[in-house]
Amino acid sequence: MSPVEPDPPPEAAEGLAEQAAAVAPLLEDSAEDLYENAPCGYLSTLMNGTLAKVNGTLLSWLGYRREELVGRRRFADLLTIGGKLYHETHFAPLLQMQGEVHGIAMELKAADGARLPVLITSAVKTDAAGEPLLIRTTVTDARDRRAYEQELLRARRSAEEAHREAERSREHLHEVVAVLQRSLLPPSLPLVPGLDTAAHYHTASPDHLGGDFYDLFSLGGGRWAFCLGDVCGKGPEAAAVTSLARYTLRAAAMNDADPEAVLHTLNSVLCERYAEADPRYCTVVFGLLEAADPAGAGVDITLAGGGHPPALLLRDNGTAEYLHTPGGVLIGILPSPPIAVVRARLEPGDTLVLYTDGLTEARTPAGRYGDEQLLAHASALAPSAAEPAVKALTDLLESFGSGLDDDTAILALGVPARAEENSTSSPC
Amino acid sequence: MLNTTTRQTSDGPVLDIHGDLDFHTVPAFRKTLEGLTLTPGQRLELNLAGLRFCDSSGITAFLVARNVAATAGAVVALTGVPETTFRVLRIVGLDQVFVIEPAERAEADSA
Repeated sequence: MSPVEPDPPPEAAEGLAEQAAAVAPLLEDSAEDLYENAPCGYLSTLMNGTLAKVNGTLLSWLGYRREELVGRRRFADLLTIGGKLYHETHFAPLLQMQGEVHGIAMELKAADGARLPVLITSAVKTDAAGEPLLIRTTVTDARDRRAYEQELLRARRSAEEAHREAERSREHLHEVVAVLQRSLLPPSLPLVPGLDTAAHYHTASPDHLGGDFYDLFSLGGGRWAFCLGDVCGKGPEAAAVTSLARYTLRAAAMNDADPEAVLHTLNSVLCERYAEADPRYCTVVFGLLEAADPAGAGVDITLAGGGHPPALLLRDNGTAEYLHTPGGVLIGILPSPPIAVVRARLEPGDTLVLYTDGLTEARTPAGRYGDEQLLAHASALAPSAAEPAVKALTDLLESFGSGLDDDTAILALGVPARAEENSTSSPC
Repeated sequence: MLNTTTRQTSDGPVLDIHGDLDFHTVPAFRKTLEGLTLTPGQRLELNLAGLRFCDSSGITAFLVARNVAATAGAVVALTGVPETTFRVLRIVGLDQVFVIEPAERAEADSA
């Protein structure tokens, strides 16, 4: 029957003609019948909203008889309370302004109180002079569509719940990592008479435990020990080594405070604990602090290094230098590693700074930050007390931004400058 | 990215290393090392001339190589060591542990 179809073969043409003849009586139903029994609801209202005409389909959906609605109720009476409000505030004004409104989702209230989700389309019919006469409305059953939307909403809610759950797990992981990380460091540095101290720990990622550590503790008799180190690797395995290293250093120092002996003990413990297949090692400096002379200010330092980057000395006279521990080998791989020992004296105004290689290995636009630049930076800082020195290096770390991808520990020990030079930093 | 090729010489196997030895590439590199066949007296050479970047994971890899070699009665040599890696090896004291042949430029600088 379509004009674009090629001529059907004679027998097919006969078939189509027969079908058309069979359907013809059915198609003869009136426009009125189509209106009454259309697969959607129709209604017309006066401009004041009073229902003037409702088709049979809508009546059957709602369970009303025609005489219950026509001339008696307004369109808004068929809406739920929310629908009424929406009709009042949006739908009716929009209709008045535009003359038509398309596809608005609403709920109709059936005679038995059931709610019927529908899509409403309305248009204003005007007379020849353009004066509005009545409003014609089409009502489409939207139950399937509503069910589909609710399914989507349910899916979205469960996806959101899964997302929140993942976020909670992640927060929990961060909490656990943060608590464990804190347990690897002293909660706060002890007050050491005649010494300024400060420390900073930069965590590269809240997801991973870092392997850097530092410590400062009393050995009694006015002697103090300090250490700073970097365990290879990241994560829980590295953290276990870190914990072992820190407590081994403490225990070893209590037994024999000689820094070289302390590092040998740590080496034996790590070699014994970690089999050859999975080497676990650390670079570490361990130092001893003793009052240089009971009468005066100043501290003698004995520093043992096992493969660790050199310490920095910020002198009172405004210079900076490296305190190298050359020849020391990292701890945990050789049965009897060479350990380098150096001695230095901190005079008033001098500050010793220990750090891990996160600082010097940070990526900058000009390559790795490196020890030359660090020394230049330290020279510009000197003289500096412990706290401002750590603050300045923390600022430096922050300036690296994403170029800093490793954990970094910094520990500074300074002898306060002489009172007459700086009255605010008298010995404690 | 890391690309490792193995070749045999009369002294023993040579691993030519191209790319980065870091947290991401070292696990695969360890597998390569552990899959090597070494006999007593051989020299395992890690040729680092093509090494672009090496962090502490790389240092761990060298130590694994040392352990693998030691177990077989062999030794490890690091050759073509780039200057930056050589500096790190010196800080951690591994210049005393490995036979190290720096890259030619580094050799000339330190001479």
